[in-house]
Amino acid sequence: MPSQETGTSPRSKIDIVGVLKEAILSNQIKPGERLNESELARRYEIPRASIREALQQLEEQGLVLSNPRKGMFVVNLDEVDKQKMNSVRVVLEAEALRLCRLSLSSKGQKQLALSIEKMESQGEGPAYQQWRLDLEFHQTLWKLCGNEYLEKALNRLTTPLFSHAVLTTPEKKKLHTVIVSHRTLLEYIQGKSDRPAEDLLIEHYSTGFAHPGRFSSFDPPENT
Amino acid sequence: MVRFNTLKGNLVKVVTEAILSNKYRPGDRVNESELARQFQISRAPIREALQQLEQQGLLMKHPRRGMFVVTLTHEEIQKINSVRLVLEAEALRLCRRNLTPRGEKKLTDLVQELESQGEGPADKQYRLDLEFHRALWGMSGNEYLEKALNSLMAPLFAHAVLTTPNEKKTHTIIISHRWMLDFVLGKIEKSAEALLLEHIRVAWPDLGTHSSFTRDPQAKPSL
Repeated sequence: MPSQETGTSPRSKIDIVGVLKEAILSNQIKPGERLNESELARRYEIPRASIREALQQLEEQGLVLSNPRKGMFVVNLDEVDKQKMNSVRVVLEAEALRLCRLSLSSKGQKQLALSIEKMESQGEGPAYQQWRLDLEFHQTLWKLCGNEYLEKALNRLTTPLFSHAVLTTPEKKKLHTVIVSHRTLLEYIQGKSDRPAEDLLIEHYSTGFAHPGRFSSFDPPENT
Repeated sequence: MVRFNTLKGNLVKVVTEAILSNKYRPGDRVNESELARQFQISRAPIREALQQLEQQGLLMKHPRRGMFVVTLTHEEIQKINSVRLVLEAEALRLCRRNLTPRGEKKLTDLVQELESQGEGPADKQYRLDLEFHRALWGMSGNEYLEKALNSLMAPLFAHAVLTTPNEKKTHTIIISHRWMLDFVLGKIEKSAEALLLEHIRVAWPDLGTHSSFTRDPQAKPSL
């Protein structure tokens, strides 16, 4: 009887996670806002235990941060957080890129190319749709590297970064330069570039990683 | 709340002891409602205690199936170590860059304490081992790096504790910590990745092909 173990049915748990996630991503619940367990329980007519578990799951996904004694809050990153997260991301994602370069099947390459085409064909849609495609490209890459621990570490680390980007990008801004630099990553995987994976990524993260030397051991690439 | 936390703390101790003394074996399910019956308490403190043990790496959660005592396959160990390699190499480089006299003393003391361990119980050695690595991660100055290493490595250390016979000497593992200290002190010129590969291989000689550093011969030593 696995469903009795947690005290809630798996279905209601999955649903409330999805509902809260959508509420955060569409800015109904704002960055830095407190997520009050009993209030949410009342609003969605769901037991508090289910809300608590859903919030824990969202915390694992990086959308929600818990602050001891103060409660749960929608992610809200400052500049230092972003630089620090990207400092970790660069070593993990560089490894994912190298692994893909060493062994990516043509099917995998096609998947990534397709993901880029999808991004390029996007007009001036809502920023959060663009970021979703962006994240989709990266998540495809992480999955294709074949090490699920690497994939998990990247997911756990970067979800708050992406959610933060979604929540703070002006509605109609077209992220053209961001889209272009995904091609560079694909070319690296295809063996068309001899620059270190770390350099390409530092450029790719651009303003989110403007000062790599601060919290990471990498210098900005020379030929930018 | 105080009572709840004491209760939870006691439960953590009891379950930890049960796992370390092999009452629960690697791969065994730890059943929340069974524990609740056994101790005649509600399930909430038990759930929280088990969550804490999950963070410590002793338990692993399987979606919809519950909590289990950690057990890792050979391949999982290789994959974890492959991720660890790039993260901990970065921690080593940052630690070397940021090292303070106090940090230097702390790491030196820990290496000495590790080295002075004779054939003591394996779990005590691993505790010191983990303490050394955690100190190193903490000195990187990037708490996100520290957190990523902690959640990645906790199950691996727990697995090592549970699968090492208590009387087994882990002498070579202990010695290899001095290499890391020497790197941090700037006494070693080779790359952090090459150094860590040597350290990891003392305990796990076969790293498989899950890391770009073991799969691509050109990526290996120089860096």
